[in-house]
Amino acid sequence: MPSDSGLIFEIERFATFDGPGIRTVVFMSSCPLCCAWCANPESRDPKRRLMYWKNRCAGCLRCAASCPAEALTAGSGGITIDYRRCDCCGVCAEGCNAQALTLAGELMTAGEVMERVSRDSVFYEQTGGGVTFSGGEPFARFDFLFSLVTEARNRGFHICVETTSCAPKEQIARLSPFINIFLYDIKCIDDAKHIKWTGVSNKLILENYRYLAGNGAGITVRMPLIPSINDGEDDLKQARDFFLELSPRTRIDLLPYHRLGVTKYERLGLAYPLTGLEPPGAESIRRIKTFFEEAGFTTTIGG
Amino acid sequence: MELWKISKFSGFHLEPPLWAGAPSRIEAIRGKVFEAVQSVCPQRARYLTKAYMENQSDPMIKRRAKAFRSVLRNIDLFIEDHQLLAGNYAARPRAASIFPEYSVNWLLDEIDELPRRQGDRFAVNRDDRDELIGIAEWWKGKTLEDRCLATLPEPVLDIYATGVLAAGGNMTSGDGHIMLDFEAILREGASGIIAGASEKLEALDLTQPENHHKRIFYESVIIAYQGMIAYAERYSSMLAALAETEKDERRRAELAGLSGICGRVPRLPASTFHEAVQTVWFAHLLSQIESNGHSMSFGRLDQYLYPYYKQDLDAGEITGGKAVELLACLWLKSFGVIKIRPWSHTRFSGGSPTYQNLTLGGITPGGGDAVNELTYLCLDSIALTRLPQPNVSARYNELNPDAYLKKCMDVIAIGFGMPAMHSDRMMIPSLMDRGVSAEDANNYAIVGCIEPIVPGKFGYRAAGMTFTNFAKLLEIALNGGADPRTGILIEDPGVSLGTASSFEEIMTAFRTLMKRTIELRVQGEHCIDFALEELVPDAFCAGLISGCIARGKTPKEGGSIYDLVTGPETGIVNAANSLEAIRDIVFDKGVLSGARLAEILRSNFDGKEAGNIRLLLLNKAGKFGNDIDRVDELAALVYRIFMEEQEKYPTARRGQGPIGCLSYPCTATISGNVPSGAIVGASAEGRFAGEPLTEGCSPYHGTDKNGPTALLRSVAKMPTRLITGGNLLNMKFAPSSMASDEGKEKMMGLIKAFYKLGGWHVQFNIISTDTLLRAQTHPEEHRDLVVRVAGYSALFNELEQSTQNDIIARTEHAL
Repeated sequence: MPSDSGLIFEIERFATFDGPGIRTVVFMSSCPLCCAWCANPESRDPKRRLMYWKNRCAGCLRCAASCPAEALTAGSGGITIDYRRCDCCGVCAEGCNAQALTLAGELMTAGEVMERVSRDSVFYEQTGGGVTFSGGEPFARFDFLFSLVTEARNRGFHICVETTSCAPKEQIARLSPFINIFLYDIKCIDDAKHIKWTGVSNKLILENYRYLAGNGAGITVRMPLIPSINDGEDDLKQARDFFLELSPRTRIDLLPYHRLGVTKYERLGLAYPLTGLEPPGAESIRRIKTFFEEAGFTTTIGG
Repeated sequence: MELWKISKFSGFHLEPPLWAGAPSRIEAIRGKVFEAVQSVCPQRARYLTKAYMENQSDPMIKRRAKAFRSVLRNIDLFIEDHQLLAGNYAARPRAASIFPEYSVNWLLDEIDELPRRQGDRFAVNRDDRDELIGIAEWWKGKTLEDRCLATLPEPVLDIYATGVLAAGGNMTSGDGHIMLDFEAILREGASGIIAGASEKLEALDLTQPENHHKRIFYESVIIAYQGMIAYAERYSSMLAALAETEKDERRRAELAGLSGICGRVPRLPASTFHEAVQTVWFAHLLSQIESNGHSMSFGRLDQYLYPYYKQDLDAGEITGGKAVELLACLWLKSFGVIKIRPWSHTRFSGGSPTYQNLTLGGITPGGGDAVNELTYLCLDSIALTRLPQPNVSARYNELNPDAYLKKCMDVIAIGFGMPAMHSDRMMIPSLMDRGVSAEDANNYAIVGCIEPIVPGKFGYRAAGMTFTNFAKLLEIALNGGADPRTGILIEDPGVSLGTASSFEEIMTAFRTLMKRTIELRVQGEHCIDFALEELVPDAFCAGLISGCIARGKTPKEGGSIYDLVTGPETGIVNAANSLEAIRDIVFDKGVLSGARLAEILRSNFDGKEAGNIRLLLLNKAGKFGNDIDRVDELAALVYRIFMEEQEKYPTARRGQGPIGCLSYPCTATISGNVPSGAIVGASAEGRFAGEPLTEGCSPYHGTDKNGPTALLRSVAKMPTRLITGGNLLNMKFAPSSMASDEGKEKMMGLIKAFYKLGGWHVQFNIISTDTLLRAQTHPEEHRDLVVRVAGYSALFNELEQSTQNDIIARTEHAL
């Protein structure tokens, strides 16, 4: 894959919760973390994946007949995809008039991405908006992110990157002068817990945070609130103390756990890891918001 | 509580004690209004018909002026409890008057159906029914509709029968769509209008033949304004009598005060804010008692009433709270004007709307910021009444303060769709292109829905002339020029969808049909225009349309300063989407033949294979509203083909004095998209036979998938500046998008960006929790419902039910 192209799994226009103003969010595939609550499972691997939208399926079964890899079979509940066989050639999706089969992920060059992003430039100008690179983890394809940020910079766009910054410090340092706001995902401070629920250590994440905060980078913290996983008293105190030490004036966006990803897992033929978990109650969310506000942070629910 | 919060946002602080008094009065009147059952009132028809019978020897305009005066001298008067303004549309609350001189055939056919039709029902008591039938019998053969039907050429009647053109409303309900020169009546009073007409009358040299008609015209104007004065004086006496017997001291003072006001205005110039509001109401009301057309509009009330408000405020005679109360009383009055229409016309205008538009904001004729304290108070009063009338239009100009735009957002967030937002940036140059002077263009106001006109200077029919149905026209063009439903042949273009060998041939067929359609449209409009001119001339209205007194003629005869008319075009987006599907699927990709597609459309996508082809057409061919250049350009081309034909023809006033005398495009389709779709067969965009067409320039429902910015960009790519009659767009948003100040600021930016791109109008529907609940039970009707949650958005109907419930819960939380 050349350095100026990469897999984009969605470009969302009129995003109003991912940085200031009206924005376009570019969702890049690939992520080194594997969070149990991930709402965008299609973004983890740097490859395309066939999605099946059961509610759209007209039941014509032409896909099963057309698949060169014989990866599709028809059953009583619709189509079953054998992901070991599917090589994402796209023949079935092309022929599916109901759009029940779609390919998640499109290989695009930085120029192509920016052509799409530029369409809404007048909306950014009027609202102080711009482009937000999200994922997946944008730094997972550093060379591509570098091309995208350069292109965005050349067009004068306000740039946000939604990231865990689980990447080498040199990469973070190299791009940080061009990024207006890091929407910085911090799940929890306790490393053992972090490893348990995301699959990786948070050492690098916290070090990079220390580096960016120390260098005056624009940061908005984004913290998911996953009931019983990272919303305990100790978790919150540790997070509060960490931010108080490094960035006492930062804004914190609390992102309450939601189950919007469930349908997506089904479409991708994946098992949802947190089956029994319920979203946090309004009272619990308010309490946590107050907790951070009392420590002096501007705190919002949902960004 | 909610309303108090809104008022604070305006930056205009009302005194809490006064404010606390206003809602109770307004809520009391409002509650009564909603309790009343809509009914039919025979009194206007009774007194008008009697006067018509008694004055048969008079020329029509004079006979009508006498009839108008007779109605005002005789109709029963009443005043609602708590109301601070006098004057009613009929003899009892929420009653519709009957206008037999326009049409009675429908009344004779439908009177017994009125209480039980599918929508817009009216109660009719036995005596009223019998009286109205008697009146209607006398009118048979003498009405406007009878004249139109007697003079319309056969081919025009044929094309009306196919539904490509619809002009029934014009024949049964008349013109409307006009805005009086309210400044003139405020400044001069009715006695001043009479004096002006008398002066012109006396100066006429009656040896000159052209002055014969002028004499009759001036005499008629004088009669009409005598009627106006008599009506107000009757109110003055009635209110004085009521005051005498009133027990409540406060109400007694109000009634006595109002009696005094009605004794002075509208006869004399208004001298206080209360007198000015009462004068506006009398003039606006009487124009709606005189003639039957709807969309009689208030114009720039925040401009012409401001001097009266300021003067009273400076003198300590009024407060902001009192002004809000009087304005709210005015809106409650305007809601009392109820139109009854034949069922055929009702389907195009569902919900008994009267489209009494109120325009706020913008710039002054001289080009300065026009937003003032009264602008904010108007918005406060609208938030207080939350009624379908008046139809509120907010002009936005870059010179207007952000506080004003923010205030508009606060009112929109309440969720009743108002105010609609209009762009000065596009409307002013568009009017100037049509010959309107810069000063007049700066002073535009909205009539009806979205159509900009110059207050007091435009003649009738700034909108709503003839509906042209593009989807039906395309269906006929693809079918060899004949309507599959009625078999009527409009014109054979030489090809059909089944025989065309290229997309260019399809476009040529479309052009051929468009050319013929516009010829017939214009022929029909001339017949109707001349019938209106001859049979229902309006002396009262003419007295307050600038130019008419000077020229001695009605607007219909060419008395107004400008004569610019429109008729809405419906289904433009359906036609463009269908043409794109044909171009893409049949000619570019060759997936299926034109003949096969024609067969599938005829079957209305019947059967499994045809059903799958429907999905192909619906999902795989590009659709308008997604920022896809080739589709958006096709939509613009489709509309330009219409414009090229339309601009060839002048209106019936050519050479009679007004500037313009031309008609231009407009996409204000009101609820006409539903009946217009009912007669169109399956279309190539994947639409089933009979489904509603798109509304205005909005996308076909559920097919705009790239969000609001993409939609706004598509709409802005239409040749908007040429659509001087207005380009209508409705958008839906979740309440959460407007719940916070940050959200409102983003919406403000969205509007500003749309206008920079060249947008014309946008109206927001804020989706309520009720809608979300309905979307769960009727997902098929809410396919396009997008819900947005932090960093993630989805089509509501594609979420699991528990997630939907979660979103409903959150939305309530957000509110």
